[in-house]
Amino acid sequence: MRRLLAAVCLLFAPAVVEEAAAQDPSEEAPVLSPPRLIRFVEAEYPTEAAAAGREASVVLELTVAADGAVSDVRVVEGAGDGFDEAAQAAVERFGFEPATRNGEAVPARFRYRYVFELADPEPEPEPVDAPPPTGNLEGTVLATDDTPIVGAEVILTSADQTLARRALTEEGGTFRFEGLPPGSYEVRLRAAEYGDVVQTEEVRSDEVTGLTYRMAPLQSDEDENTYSAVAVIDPPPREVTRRTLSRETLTRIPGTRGDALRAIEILPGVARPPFGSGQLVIRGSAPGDSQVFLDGVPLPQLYHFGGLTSVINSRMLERIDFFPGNYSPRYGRKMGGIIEVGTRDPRTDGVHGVAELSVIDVSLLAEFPMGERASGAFSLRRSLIDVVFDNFVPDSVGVTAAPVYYDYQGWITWRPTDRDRVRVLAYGASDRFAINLEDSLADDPGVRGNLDLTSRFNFLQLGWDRQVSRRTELDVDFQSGPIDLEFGLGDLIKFDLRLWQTYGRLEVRHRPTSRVRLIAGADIFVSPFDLTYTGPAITQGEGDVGGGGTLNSMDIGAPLVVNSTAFRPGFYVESDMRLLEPWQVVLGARLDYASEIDQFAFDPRLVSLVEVYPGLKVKMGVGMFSQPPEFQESVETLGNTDLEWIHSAHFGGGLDWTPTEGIQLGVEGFYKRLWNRVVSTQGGVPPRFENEGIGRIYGMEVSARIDPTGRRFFGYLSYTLSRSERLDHPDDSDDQWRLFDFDQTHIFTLTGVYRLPRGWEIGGTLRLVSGNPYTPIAGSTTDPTYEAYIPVNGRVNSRRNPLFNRLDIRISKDWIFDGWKLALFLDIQNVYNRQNQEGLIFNYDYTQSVTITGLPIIPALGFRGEL
Amino acid sequence: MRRAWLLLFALACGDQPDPGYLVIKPRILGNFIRVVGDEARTDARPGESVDYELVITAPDAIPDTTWVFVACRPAPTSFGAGFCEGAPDAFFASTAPSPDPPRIRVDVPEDYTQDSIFLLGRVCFGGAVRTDLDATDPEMALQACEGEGTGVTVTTSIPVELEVVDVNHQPGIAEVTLDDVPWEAELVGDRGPCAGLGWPEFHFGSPDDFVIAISATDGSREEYEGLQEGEIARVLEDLQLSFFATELGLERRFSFISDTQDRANLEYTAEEVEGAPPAEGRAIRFDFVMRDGRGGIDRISRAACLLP
Repeated sequence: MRRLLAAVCLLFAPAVVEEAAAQDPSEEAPVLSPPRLIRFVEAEYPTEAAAAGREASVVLELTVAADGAVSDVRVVEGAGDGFDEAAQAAVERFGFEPATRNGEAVPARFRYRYVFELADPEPEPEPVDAPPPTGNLEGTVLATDDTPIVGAEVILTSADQTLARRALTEEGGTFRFEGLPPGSYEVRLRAAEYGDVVQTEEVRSDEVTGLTYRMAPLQSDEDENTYSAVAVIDPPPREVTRRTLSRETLTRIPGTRGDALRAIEILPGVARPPFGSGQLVIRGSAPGDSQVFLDGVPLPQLYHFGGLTSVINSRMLERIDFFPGNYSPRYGRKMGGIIEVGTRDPRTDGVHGVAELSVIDVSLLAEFPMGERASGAFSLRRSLIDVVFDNFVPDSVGVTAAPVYYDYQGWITWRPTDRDRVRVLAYGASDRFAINLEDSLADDPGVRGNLDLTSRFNFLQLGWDRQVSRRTELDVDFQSGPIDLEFGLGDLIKFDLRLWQTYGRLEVRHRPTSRVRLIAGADIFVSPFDLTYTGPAITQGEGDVGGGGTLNSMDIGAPLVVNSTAFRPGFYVESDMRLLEPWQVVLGARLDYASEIDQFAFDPRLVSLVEVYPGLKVKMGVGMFSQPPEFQESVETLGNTDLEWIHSAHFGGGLDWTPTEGIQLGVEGFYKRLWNRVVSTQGGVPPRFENEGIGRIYGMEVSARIDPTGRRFFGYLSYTLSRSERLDHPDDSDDQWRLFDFDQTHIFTLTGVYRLPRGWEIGGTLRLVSGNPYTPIAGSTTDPTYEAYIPVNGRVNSRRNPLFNRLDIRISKDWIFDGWKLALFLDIQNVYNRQNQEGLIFNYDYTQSVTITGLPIIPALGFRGEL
Repeated sequence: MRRAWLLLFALACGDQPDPGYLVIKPRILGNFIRVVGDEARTDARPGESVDYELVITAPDAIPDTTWVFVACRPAPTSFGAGFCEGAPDAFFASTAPSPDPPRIRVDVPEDYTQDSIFLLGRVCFGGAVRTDLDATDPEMALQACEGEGTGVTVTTSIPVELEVVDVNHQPGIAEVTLDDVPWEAELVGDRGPCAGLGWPEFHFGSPDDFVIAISATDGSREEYEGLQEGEIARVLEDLQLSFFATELGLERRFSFISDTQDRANLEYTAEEVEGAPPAEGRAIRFDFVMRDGRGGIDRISRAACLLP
């Protein structure tokens, strides 16, 4: 039996004309209210189209007069086959309350999307003898500045239109519907000054679907105001720990200059890299063990030079998901943590732009609609460091290319049907720095000549999401592009890696019943590469192996040239089951292959989540995680082709508690065991690397997130207590457990941001972190042939830098004018200019040392204009 | 890599330790490797003998020295200070204090098949050397002196040419000038009053810069098969000049004679000198060492007078 489902989406709602006068945000704005649908008329489904099983949507434009009368209905985007006429006839019979300005009825013209959809011919049968299950749906409606919208109307309509409910948001912008039969619902939000937003949500039996909506205020136009909205919906969890951060919040974190991706460091489990170098150290894992994904595809580089700025414009980010451990088998080939960065669709409600200028860089972002079903955006950024760089280098240093970085992104999102979303992203980044040292610096005569550091990548990314049916979704992601990494130092060191990296993923998600979700996917990583290397022997990247000494005294062999291809396919499955109502179990597994070592890895994973009390969730997870050796460790001539996968077992558990709206507390414990770690052979002799190393990491994390809706304040508190240790050669009785290079016993971060009246905002971030370990120097020997002193290490990482502490503050002021906004911000890192010790530098024979301190106070002043 | 980061930040942001050119204690500046019977050659061949001699300097007269060396086959290693594979082939010691620099003669066996002979030694200035060397332990005891004295542990190699490809000879320092004037003054023994000796004069605290220039003898730069920007090529040696002084004020520690510079240049200023000299002046010793990067070396000393 077919039933007619009609969903109506208010795409663009109208309003009245406002004068183009600059206004302070604290001043009273006119109260605008869009037309309100009070009588919906179901269109007659075209018979032939129904018989052919065809579905469609029609976009119409109509005028609602001050008396509520509908007139001038016009098809803007037709579907043919009788759909246009049916939709027009139905809309002409709609009833409206008129739009208002300051309570006075005014005419308005706007657009509707009328969706014709055939019902599922085989609805899921429910057990006859089971009581009808129900679920709840609750949420919060916020403005884009996170202030709650009180009194917004929330209309809930079941997909079959047999159930409809209405509620008004309460204090804090919250609403709640209880006792809902499982299934899809249309949620329509209406709020004065914000227009409408319509979303389809899923309600599952005995489950609370929690939602957060953010609505953008209306923008005035010449004749009509445009209503636009953004909805952020948290999908159900699949991991023990997922910490989700929204862009709106992250761009306000002090010490980041508004860069959302730099705010990752405030999260529990994330160590502080030395000098703010941007290395990601998650739960005691090496930087190379963690991976950042951009819209589901690996991102080769997260930050520009030294972690100054990320390579993606923060204003296009939708969310950042952080998985410190026990993550889904969707993520493979890594055994540390995962960061999933999701970008949003470009705006469709007109042309928008953001221009930003600071002492570090300048950037531009533009967004624009492309017809009715597509939109585009592009972003450009370039550093400004080169403008002043010459002033900071000695006269003897010739600057060939002052440090310059740039990045770009271009998005096109297209929704050819209501079931499909196609996304094209072209993006890339470049970092270059080159100097000429005619005479060597410091105490190493080998450090001379041309010093050149270049890193660049360019990618084209394609994504296609399709709602195959009400129960099945399909995701396809593909990315391909070149990566170049070059490093040269005079005649002695040359590292030139050129690779063409291709990544693809196909994932199918199917929900056979309301209690089970199945996911199956495959991804593939293919990377032909050319590597040329001249320099000292490559050693394991961590643990102070290599002996040090001056470059001119090291054994520099003939150049090594490697041409090879890494081919790494992977397959994964996952089942998300509700065995008992409060108990969710996620079982998954992943099978990977790496051609460079010709070996498979199989990783089973298990996650259990139990909501023992409303708002209190107990969670645990255990799983295997495998990672192939680095290229240079496993390719012929440079490394050992007989290496195996590196493995890690994750064990984790904890509590999440939401005692009240806007406050989230969490505590977690974790233990990770590492084996098959790649370490240098004794003395670095061929085959140079072996899978002998083991490791253990354990600790706990405490977090508090205070983000009460309707308040001017939000804040984060995180504390991590952990220990990360390594044993490189367990078979050597003289070898001992040692600390990991970035082991930090205590990591405490406190962040707070307060919004003041008249567009002012002030915030601060305080960090207290244990100093990184370092290896003492027991003495040195000298090689008179080269006038070189070679340090003899003491016990590796047996000493530690003093406690790191730093306070960053951010002050900003917004001015809102007609149609655009201007922001001035001052972001000051290390406000009290703390001289944190980051390491020691030694004299020529290692008998004397002085402290190297970290970054001093750095004020960054900037402007940002938003259209 | 971590050390490279530290170095960059130290250069940019941090305090600096005493510069490496400042001679405030006895120092080993280099070593002469001379093939017996062909003293200008530095690379030995199987069946030949090599005279090995350390080049030493000190702020004042070089103190009496004791020392011990072993010669052995090098153990395979890609990094670190190196060590012996098995028991040493030869043992050398001088436990009686002597002002002469350590000098040993090493014989290369006829059937030698490795490309170098490893030398491990201890040198003790002004004290008694420890002779308990464990040459097979890469983390050998670093303490060179039994009690008092300034000790240095030496780990180096004598290159052995199994196939003669590019013969290497010692480079030579042709001339040293100070502000384009030939500089001949030399200090022997302790630093002392120097006013009126006709040496070049610097005035304490003066910001004046003096240019030290060093040129090489003809033929010092030899062609060989080496690396040029990471690629194998026929290249001419770059001659590295190391500068040492007993007072602060050198611009840097190294300079080079290369395709782009036919003289190694360096500036000196007495502006940074610590401690005012007496009215009769205080001698400054300068040492200059030339290296060809392949085992060849030359050394010269000069003196100047620091006046109030």
